[in-house]
Amino acid sequence: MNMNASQWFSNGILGEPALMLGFIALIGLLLQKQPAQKVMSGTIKTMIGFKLMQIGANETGSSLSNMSAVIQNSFQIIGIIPHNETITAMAQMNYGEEMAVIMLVGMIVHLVIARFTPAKYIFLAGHHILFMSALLASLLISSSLATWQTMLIGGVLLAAAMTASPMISQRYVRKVVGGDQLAIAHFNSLGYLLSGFVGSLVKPRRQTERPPLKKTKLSSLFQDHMVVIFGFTFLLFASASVFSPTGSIESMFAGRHFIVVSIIQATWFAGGCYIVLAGVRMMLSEIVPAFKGIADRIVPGAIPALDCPVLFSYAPIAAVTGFLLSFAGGFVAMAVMMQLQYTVIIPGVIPNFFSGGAAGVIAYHMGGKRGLVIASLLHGFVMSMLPVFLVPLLSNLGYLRVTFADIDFSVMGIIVDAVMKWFS
Amino acid sequence: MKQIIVACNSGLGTSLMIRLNIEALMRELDVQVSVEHTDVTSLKAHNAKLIVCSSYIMDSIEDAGNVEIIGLDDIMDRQYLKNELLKSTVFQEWLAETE
Repeated sequence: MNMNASQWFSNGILGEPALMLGFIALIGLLLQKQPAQKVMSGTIKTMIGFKLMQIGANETGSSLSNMSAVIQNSFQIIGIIPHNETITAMAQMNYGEEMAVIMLVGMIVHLVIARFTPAKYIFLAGHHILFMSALLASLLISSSLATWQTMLIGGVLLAAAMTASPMISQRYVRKVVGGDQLAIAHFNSLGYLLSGFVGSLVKPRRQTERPPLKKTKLSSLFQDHMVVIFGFTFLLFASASVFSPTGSIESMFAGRHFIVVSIIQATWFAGGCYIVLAGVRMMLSEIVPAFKGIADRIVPGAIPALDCPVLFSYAPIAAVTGFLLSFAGGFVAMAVMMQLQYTVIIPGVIPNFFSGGAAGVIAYHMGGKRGLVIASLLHGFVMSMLPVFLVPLLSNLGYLRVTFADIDFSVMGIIVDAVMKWFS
Repeated sequence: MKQIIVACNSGLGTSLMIRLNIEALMRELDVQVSVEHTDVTSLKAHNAKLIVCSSYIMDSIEDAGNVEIIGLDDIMDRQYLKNELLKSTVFQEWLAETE
């Protein structure tokens, strides 16, 4: 059958998101004038990376539905885990092509904003661009917008978020890093604003020099994230099993002991996460350099906005303390939710590591030890509470047991939903 | 093979930025070195001679075997990165081989 050019484009490239992303990478690599071999391998790897995300999403999805069955069986609640990578991988199974176009439009509009306005931030955390495109696609598709409108509006909103987010947190980030040489590209800017603000409120009256806190071995315990994900999933699964009605775990999982079941499920989930992570990395390792290369050329005086761990080395122990206290604040939020309602957000260990850690550094810098403690607990509480309002807005993705973690995602979801309701 | 592995917690953001800086530096110094970025979990599988990471995660990869590790306090300063790399014994060997 013969296809004309536009059919070939819409059924061929747009019809398959992996091809669409490969196409974006191809353009990026050609624009950078890379050698032919690099162009080919980069394009292929981008497509493989995208497929890996789908494969990983299937696996994490299966183990999560087991976990949620056990939690429901034991506590009569629906437990939802905030984990950006997993929810994004699940969203792209349905809305991959919209996400791909939203990313492309978002990156272009973001460059235009940086080129022609005083907001010179270049948002370089590719994975967060991907997560936000997943959120926007999921939200906008539930409206009555045509596909091209979803892609265009989504892209513009993504670009706006990529500029606004570093700008919002810069007020405090500037004080931590001592200038405007870098900003933070992490969709938790409202969380950082909150931590910085609370930190500066409880600032000790006597302005004393803040000694750099000493490093401990504790911090290295949390660095290997697959081990952390395994450990946390295992604890969650095992503790839910302990409270389950007698014999129900055995009957659900072919007569196996609950400890064995918990180990199997935790390795399954961590393994799935690893595949998703490897996929995201493979996909972005071609797209982000192209994006940065173009930005370097066309945006003079750009402020690079980087992933949040860049703050950790400014106060490593405040980062670990911030993570643990933020995590604790999440458990307080969980306890409150368990009293109030059926859907409960289980604090995610990985998002708290990143967002809680960076928030801790900012809070410590603004308000010393007291600021660190108060702001981190509050940050974790708010971060775990907000997805309660986001989860119902994502119902068109199906009854998933995961959601977006960081504060900007929840706030963006609430705002976009309110505006869409207002217009319709 | 001359290969530098750049690592960070999830192998997505920080490590990619450091990788781009190292690649630019390699072009500047005209040295053929392949640079890959990865997460802490996969680090051992790479069997690297030289690892670059943020100083924040250095403690957790000290046991990575017979390998030289450079922990950066500042991930954006290219001059500082250059100085740190030029101090490295593994990198000095590679430079000597190139000449």
